[in-house]
Amino acid sequence: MSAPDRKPNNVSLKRNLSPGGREVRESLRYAGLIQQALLPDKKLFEMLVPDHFILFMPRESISGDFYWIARNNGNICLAVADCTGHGIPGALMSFLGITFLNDIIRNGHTNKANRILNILREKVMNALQQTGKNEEPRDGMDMSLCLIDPAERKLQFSGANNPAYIIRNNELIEVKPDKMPVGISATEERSFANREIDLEKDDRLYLFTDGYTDQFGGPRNKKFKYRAFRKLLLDIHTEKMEKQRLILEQTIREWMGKEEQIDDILITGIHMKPVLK
Amino acid sequence: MRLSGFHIKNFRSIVNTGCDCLSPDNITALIGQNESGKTSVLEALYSFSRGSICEDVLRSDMSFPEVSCTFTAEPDEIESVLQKGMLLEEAAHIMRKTGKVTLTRKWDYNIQSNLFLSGNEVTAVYDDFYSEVKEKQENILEKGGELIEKEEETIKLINDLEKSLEELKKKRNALSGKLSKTIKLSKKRKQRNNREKLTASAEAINNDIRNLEELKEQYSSMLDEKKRFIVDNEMLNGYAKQTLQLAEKIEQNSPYYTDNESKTGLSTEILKKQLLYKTFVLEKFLKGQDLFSAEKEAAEESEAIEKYTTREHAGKEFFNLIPGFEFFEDFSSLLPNRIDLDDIFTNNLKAEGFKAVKNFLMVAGLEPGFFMQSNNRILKQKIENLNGEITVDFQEYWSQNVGKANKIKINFELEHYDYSHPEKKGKPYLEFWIKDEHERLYPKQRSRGVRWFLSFYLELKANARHNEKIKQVLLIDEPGLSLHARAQEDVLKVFEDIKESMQIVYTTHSPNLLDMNKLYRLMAVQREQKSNYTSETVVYSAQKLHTTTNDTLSPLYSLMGTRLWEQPFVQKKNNVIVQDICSYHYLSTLYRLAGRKGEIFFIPATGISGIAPVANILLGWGVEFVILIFNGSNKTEGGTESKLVHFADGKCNSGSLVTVKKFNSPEDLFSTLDFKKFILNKRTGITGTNSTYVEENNMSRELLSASFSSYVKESRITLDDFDEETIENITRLFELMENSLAAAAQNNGNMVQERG
Repeated sequence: MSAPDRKPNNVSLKRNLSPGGREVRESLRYAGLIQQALLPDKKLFEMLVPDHFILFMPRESISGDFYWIARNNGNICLAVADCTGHGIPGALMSFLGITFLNDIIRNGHTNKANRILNILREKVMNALQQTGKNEEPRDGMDMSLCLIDPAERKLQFSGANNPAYIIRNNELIEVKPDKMPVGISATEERSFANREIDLEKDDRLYLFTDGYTDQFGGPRNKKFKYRAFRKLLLDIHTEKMEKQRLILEQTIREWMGKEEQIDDILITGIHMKPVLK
Repeated sequence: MRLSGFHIKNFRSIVNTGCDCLSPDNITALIGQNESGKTSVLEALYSFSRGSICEDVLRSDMSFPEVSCTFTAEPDEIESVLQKGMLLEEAAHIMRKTGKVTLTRKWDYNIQSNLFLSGNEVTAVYDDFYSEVKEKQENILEKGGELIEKEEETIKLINDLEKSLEELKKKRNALSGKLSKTIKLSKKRKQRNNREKLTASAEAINNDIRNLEELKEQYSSMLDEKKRFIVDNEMLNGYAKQTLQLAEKIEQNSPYYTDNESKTGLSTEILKKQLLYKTFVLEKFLKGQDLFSAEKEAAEESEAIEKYTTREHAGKEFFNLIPGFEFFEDFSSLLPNRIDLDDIFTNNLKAEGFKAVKNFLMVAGLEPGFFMQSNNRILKQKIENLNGEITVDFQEYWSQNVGKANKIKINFELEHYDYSHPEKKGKPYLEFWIKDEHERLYPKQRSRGVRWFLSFYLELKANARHNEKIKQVLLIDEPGLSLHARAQEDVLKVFEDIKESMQIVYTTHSPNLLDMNKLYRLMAVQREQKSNYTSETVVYSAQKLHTTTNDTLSPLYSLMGTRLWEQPFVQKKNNVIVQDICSYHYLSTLYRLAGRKGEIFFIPATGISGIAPVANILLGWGVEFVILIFNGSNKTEGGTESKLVHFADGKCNSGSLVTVKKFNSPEDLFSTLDFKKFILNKRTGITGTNSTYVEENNMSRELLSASFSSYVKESRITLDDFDEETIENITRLFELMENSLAAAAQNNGNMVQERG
């Protein structure tokens, strides 16, 4: 169990702003604080998923990635999202995402993971006035969303471009997402798929954005890539959650070396043992 | 193959039509105001088939035209191309499954076009395929890079080892010198102690030398091993270096030389093909294969990929199977009064009305040789019979009467010139008549409308007969301009008759050329203002008609409200009164679509207040019914239920009223996604209920529901096309209604018994 690492990385912002931009920097820092306040409360996380970690490394003071958790009719609803862009545009989109998710759960619209994503997409399209015309903004978010039923030991997963990994008996199971975002896309909207999985006590569930795997670095300055990420998770999944977070952070920092962080990084890991009844 | 849809970009006033579906029953009408761009749509489709365009069609922003056509193909047609093995298996699977082929023709700045296989799903498969190949390529190159790194490390190690060995040699030499000195000194020392010390020291030096020798031995063997590694892998490393250099060159070139020749004189495409081949060789080389076999296998593998990736090649193969496109602007060749048989035999195109006569003979099923018949009596008899057949056929389409009940007849006769034409005396000619009961007139003596229709009838029928085996797409610009309303309806009859062998896409302003019961046949073309200075043509498919302007829809509005009497309504039992015509359209359509075992007959009332009178009539007639109302938000008139119960004056039992509290109206039965897809046909974010969206956006519920109904009638939608949410909602509703009807039947039986 660990608290999320919310230490912002100000390197690039500091570099980009002239001395006269101090006010802007201050505003961004403050915006970052507001964004942190919008993220789920640490206590709520610990109450719903006691054994977990969150590795959250925003590229700027504010981030386009966000995580979210809520209780929904006895289920635990968990999401990890990557909004288009990073910095200010990404953060604005993340504000929308968090607000809409809260709204959907509060109104008790549904208890299906895919329907939550379907409704969220409608709200995003409506807010951004997206109707599929060429000149419109194509903003949106990629998201992994899970509904965990602790009593029935079931997991519903619905993914918008982002998968989920479950590690069970030293084997990594990839739960595939739909290849479309939450927001307008090139093809007509169709329902997100609802994937149901029976959970086992010792399962580890990982939700993440693509910031980790897309990070450049290493001896040949290449992306970290999913293959290496999966191997790393398989190697460390038996470690305690907090240690897993440290290893993941240390590995990506070493990989990055002197390279700039190119995107926000977010990974959450959950050990199912204390969650399932 | 059958043309099922199109997507036009950058053609005259058209910027992007989006994907538009043609009517499934082969007749599609384009409606819209003048200058809206209807003819441009026809021209674009025609250009797709011909491949050529004139500069007039280019837009001022110099964006180049692109026309995609989607065809529905028979399985054997698809197989005939797929069996050639040029498509990716997954793409082939999609085409087999959907039975659809999309081809795109794109023009460039030279007004040359490129034709290729397209379509979202197929393109996505190819994109995935390209990324997989790219990923594989990257992995191999990464391994190649690792190998080179290892080689560099080894070379460094060899250098270090050689240095170390050199140092060891020096150390050894130094120690040897030291040892000789020590031995000499020990011999000179007389004192025993000193001698023993020096001997021990010499022994230690000796040990050091032995150790150094051992170390040197180890280093030498390591050095040999590393050198062997370099020699053994020389070829492999060399190949890896070459391949990586090529990859880097492409990476540097690609932003600047994507389409043109690169600095090397080779296009990036050719370099990429080379890289693909070299990467595959490297992969096999890395696995330990010899260069010869690696090259052989890699050549086969890259050739297979290149074969797969030719979407252009596949496009051309499918293009050979598509129907022919014909563009008719005017039926200018009118039937003449007479034509010499010599002109027919010699194919004299300049003869007046030659084409119309050829069409006439084709429709009559006559070859020119028919007139060679020597027996004049038999010939005349056959002509008389044919006159009867052609007239009967023509009268099936031409419904106007001359006077009260007088129909016109088409006649032709074989005659010979007499002395009044001395230069042609004795030569045969065909004479045409259009007769009615009162007079027999030459075609030219008849109205322009009759002559136009006759020419149109002959041309289309002849074309259909001529191309019985090859399907055709006829593009017709404003047919029947000079015709009476009734005759325009007759044009539709001709379309209906030939639609099995031909697809017709036509433009019109006339309501008489539209069929109210077949709204799915309509597409609206509208010019929309994009800024103060620019406008563009937008095409709306049948399902989006409600979003067009009143002016665009004016032919349709002229037709609305007619022929509703054709619907069968009340039955003895299983009647359901619904609150309005929209509920009627949605529920009757969904019930049919759901394929339920029972039967329900929906009766539309004129709003909630209209339900009571309808129910009273049905009570009076003694038929079984239930009333269905949607009352989700309780927004309907106050005390609705009490009013409804009141109407029956206690005779209507409570089971007769079914109130759906979950939804405001039938529109809410659809999931938001299905509502957008099948009813609105629009991509927008809907955050409230569907019914609220319709209300807030001031949309015509009548048009939406009627369009949906006619769309489903043509089986374009099946129950499986809806998502689980919609299916769940409609299944629950119909179960509820069937149960209520069963209860109503039970109660009715009881009441009859009581009366008895």
